[in-house]
Amino acid sequence: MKTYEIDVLVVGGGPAGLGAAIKARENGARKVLVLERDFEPGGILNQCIHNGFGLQYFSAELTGTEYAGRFIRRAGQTGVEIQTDTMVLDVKPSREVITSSAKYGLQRFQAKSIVLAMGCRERTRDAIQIYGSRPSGIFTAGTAQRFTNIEGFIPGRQVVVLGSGDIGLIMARRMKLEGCEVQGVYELLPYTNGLSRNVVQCLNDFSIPLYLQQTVTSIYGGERIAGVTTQKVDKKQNPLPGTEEYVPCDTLLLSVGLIPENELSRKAGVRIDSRTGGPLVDQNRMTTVPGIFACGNVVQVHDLADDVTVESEIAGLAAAGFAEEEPPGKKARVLVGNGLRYVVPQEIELSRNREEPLLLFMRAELPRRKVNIVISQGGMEKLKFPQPFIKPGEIIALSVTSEMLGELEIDQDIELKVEGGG
Amino acid sequence: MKKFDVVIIGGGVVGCAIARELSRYNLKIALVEKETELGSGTSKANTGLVHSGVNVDNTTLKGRLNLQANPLFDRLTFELNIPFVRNGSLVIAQNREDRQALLRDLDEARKNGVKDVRWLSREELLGKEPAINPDSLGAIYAPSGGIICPFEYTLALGQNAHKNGVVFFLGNRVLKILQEKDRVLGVETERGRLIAPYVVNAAGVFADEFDSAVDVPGIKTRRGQYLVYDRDYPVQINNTIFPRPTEVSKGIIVTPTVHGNLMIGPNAEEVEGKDSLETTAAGINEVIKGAQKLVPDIDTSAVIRMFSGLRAVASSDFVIKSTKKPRGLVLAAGIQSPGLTAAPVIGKLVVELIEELGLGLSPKSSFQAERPSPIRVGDLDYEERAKLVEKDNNYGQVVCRCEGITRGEIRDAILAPLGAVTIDGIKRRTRAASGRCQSGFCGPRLVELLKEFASISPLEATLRGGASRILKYRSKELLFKAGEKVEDL
Repeated sequence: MKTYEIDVLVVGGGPAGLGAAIKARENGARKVLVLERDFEPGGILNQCIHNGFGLQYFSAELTGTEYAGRFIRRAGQTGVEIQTDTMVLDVKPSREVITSSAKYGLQRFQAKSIVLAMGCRERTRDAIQIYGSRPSGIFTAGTAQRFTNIEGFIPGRQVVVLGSGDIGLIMARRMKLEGCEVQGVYELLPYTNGLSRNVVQCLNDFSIPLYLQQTVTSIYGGERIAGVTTQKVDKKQNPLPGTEEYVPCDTLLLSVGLIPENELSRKAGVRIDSRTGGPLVDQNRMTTVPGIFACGNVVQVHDLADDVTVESEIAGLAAAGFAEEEPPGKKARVLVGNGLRYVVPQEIELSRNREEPLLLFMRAELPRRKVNIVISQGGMEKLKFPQPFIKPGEIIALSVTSEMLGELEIDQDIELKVEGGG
Repeated sequence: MKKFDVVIIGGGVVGCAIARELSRYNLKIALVEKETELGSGTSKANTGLVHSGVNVDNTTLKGRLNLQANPLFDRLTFELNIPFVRNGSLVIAQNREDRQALLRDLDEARKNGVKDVRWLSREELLGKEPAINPDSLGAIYAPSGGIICPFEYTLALGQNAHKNGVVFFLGNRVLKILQEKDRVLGVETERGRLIAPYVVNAAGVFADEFDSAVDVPGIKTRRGQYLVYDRDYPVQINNTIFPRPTEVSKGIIVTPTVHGNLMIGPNAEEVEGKDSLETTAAGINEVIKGAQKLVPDIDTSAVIRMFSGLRAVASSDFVIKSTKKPRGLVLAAGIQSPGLTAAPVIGKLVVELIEELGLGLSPKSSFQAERPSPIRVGDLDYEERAKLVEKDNNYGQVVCRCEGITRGEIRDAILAPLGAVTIDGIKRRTRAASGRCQSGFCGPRLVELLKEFASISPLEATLRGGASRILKYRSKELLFKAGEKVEDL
């Protein structure tokens, strides 16, 4: 097995990986290589033929494939190399990477820096424990999306969607457009998990019913799914006896959560944040292993590809500039306070002078109106960001300007929390 | 009309083991299985254990066969090239009553010749398995207990029998056992008659279905539910952990699988119907509670799969005999636990029974005991793997990312004798789609590979045969008016 020397090696050729690679190449990294396991770069965007991409980043409304296309072209123009059909088998803390490919055989790479951009996977039926029989016709929404949009087949004609994640909402509409009967979208929680715009554009505009605080508790059918039992749930999400309803269907789509794919990160020895399920990163998206960076859905499950791009450029820029000799500065921890599920990055080097504003991404625990996100240090309130409305399904992005950063002590942990509102 | 010496009904582990044993002799043998894949019934949904023989009653047939079978597995799994580990069994004393009873069972196990069986004190037990409930009072330890992959075991027995001349009819249901003047004539199947003077009924939970006139016991079905965990689940054990058995069952067990997943189950519930393969909230909770008594840290945080399996129960024991009426019929029925362990000896026993009925047996000089190992890319180090990919680049393309299974391995599983024709068939042979994403990513690729290597069109591809199609329509198909076709656009 031959060893290849690479400056910035990117694992994953979706929007995160491509964005990081282009940024690294534009900022001085000479040899930048993207490793992609699928046959085409673009990642999950290749099956996202719906619109709504690029509104923030390009100020244009694009489909997912168009959005990916722009990055694939730019990667070519900037001299980023992309190896498709290549699976990364191992990433070592020493930044050695082993790959397997039908085209290139087994390869070994030694990289100066690595960007992890493997994306996420969908939670399954068994992970949320839906009882009943095990017929065919049960798909995660993303798998059904691939079958429908790339392979050219639709799973069935009478569809129940469980979970109101964005892919579930998009697929409810997609199935309707294919002429299917969509029985409804069932959501365990009292609020939807997807973007508000998707609830409006995918369900309301197509008269697809949304059933909040209801879930699927059992599956019927011997060979092919024939129906499901739905049940209302109480405040603790336990099914309420007596509310069972049988809903016939030949297809059940699940949109019940996304999980960052961090098997390789674990091999690389990177610390994982139990709140995000992704690597613990600093403001440059460097993980706890020096020279190994991470961005996109592998770090936190984003709502928008545009946000992924922003994060990937942070990682790509830092990966290009990574120099092993330079000792890292002291990092302050970012602590997650009341009302928040997580904050990314989890560590910040406050000492460095910044021209660019510092971006903080976070998710709320519960939907609330008219709140403040408060940044404090040592119990002292330092900065306050008013928010008209927050909900768990929509990431909150705070931009902390360099002036604001001047308010903070450089050697103290910072805490973020939600205050006020209702 | 096809003529054979022996027709075996049922392509589960028992039927395949019988087929392999019979294939050692100069005979014309047929095996008929109603499903399109071998091992689609009880053999696919069980605990995957080779029982040590602790806690068996040697006055029962199933107990004796268990004791005889366990020592055979080293050679058998070597011949069949299938993974097998003697990981050891621990039967835990959870209270004083358990301890007294288990100490008696230990004496019994020693008398029965269970190899190296001994008592572990509480300290020894916790030293060996730190995850075990610290309130345990000790355990019987039987190092000869083992774990095996039930799918590959069944398939390998079948493939080896096939190699030695057994003719397999898959996806073909036996409707009736044909008789004339109280003598077996053969079987009537969905696709014609197979004539044979000897018929073996190894049809598992369906063994009582072929002809009510035949002297076959009624089969009840007992369901057991299971949970399988992610390989990265931090709760790990090495041995197979049993509670003290009850009259009915061996209890809810905590075990590693031979592929490194933690698995818990089964409960035991009598169910109506031979297709009652549901999991239920009550059953799964019973399994979790039972497992937690043995290993308290077990929760549901990393469950990747729940499933149910059915056991065929004819009486409290196996029913392996030749019937008086009609002559020529041999039953291997009611094969509940420890059927997976006993199968190789059941095979030998059935051969003896057929010989007693008058079939002359002459050993076949061309018999080959070995079933070649499929290539398992994950077992190779990187250098070996690089060489393999140079020779055949299909082994370079990883299709199932969770389990690391390559296009080459999936191709081999489809093209091998008695190859995979369904998504589940690929899964059971290769482990593709059995990981944490449960086919979310590789599902579409597997459909494609069935088309490429088995010429099964995506609209015909099934999860497990019959009406279990994965995809029902082409895109846009539902939008057309009646009579319109995609091609008309």
